[in-house]
Amino acid sequence: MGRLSHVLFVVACVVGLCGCAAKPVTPVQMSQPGDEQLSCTELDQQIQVNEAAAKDFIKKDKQVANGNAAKTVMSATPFIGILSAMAIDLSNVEQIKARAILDRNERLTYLKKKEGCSQ
Amino acid sequence: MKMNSKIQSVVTGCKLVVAAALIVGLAGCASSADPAAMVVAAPAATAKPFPAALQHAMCVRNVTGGEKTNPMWASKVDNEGFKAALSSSLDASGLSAAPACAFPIDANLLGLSQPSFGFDITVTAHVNYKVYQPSGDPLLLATIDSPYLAKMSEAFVGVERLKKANEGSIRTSILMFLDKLRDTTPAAVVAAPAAAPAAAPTPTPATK
Repeated sequence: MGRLSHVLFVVACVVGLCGCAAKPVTPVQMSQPGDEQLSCTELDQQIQVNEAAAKDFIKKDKQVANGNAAKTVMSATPFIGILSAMAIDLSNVEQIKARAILDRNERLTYLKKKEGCSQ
Repeated sequence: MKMNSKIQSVVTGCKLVVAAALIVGLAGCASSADPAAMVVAAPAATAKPFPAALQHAMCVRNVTGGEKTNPMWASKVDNEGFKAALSSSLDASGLSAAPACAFPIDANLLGLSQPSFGFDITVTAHVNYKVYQPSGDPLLLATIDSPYLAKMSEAFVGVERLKKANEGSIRTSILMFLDKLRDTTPAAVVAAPAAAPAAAPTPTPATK
């Protein structure tokens, strides 16, 4: 028990000193080079792919939020609580990606309208 | 034997000090980002000027994606605070034209990437800025990622340091947005419009 608490203490100190860096995220750009040259078919295809990807990210985002809630409750546990707190994910990767994709689709929909594509 | 006991006491003392520092770093109530701390000051005289058509012709129409801060959780940036900071930054740069404007801005805060905790905290703000021309066509659609590192020297208490990092990342984001505005070529406004357009060409979606 004594040895375990020593290990946990060292882990806590190292994490405290280094910090739990957020997961890096690069959201999709709203406007991209070559957008104006996309055909109606290509625009439709991109919109559909994006819709599916956004749904997936929204689902994963909810899972992360539920996981964080559970970890927050666990963090109140003596000794191992600190490890649970360290595992909380505040990087918002899924939310950022989902919202970026939805904005990208807004742009593609605007281009579709501008090109006079059928709905 | 006596020496071992002394070493043990020193180790225990060190543990208590580090544990106290960690607790202090983690403790405290979170508060929302301060709008005044996110404002970008007036640009230097030597800075590249904004296009003439944009001067005194812009306003912030919609800000979405922000989150209210739960005091028992991490500091966040809310829509009102972000909108106030963006509007004040436009004022400082001589771009504001309230209440009516020719070039409305919609900003969507995609999210803040925050660490769980740490001594030096880096927060990255991800924001989509949409600027529209008087015709309704987009003038600028920019996705801006802006990291900011808040060091231990900025704030000792962890929640306060996270708040500083949030504010710094939004301030950096607005600064980068203003830089992008300088490179735009807006159509000249023929006559002053009666009011800002009521809505974007398509609604801004939100996942939460």
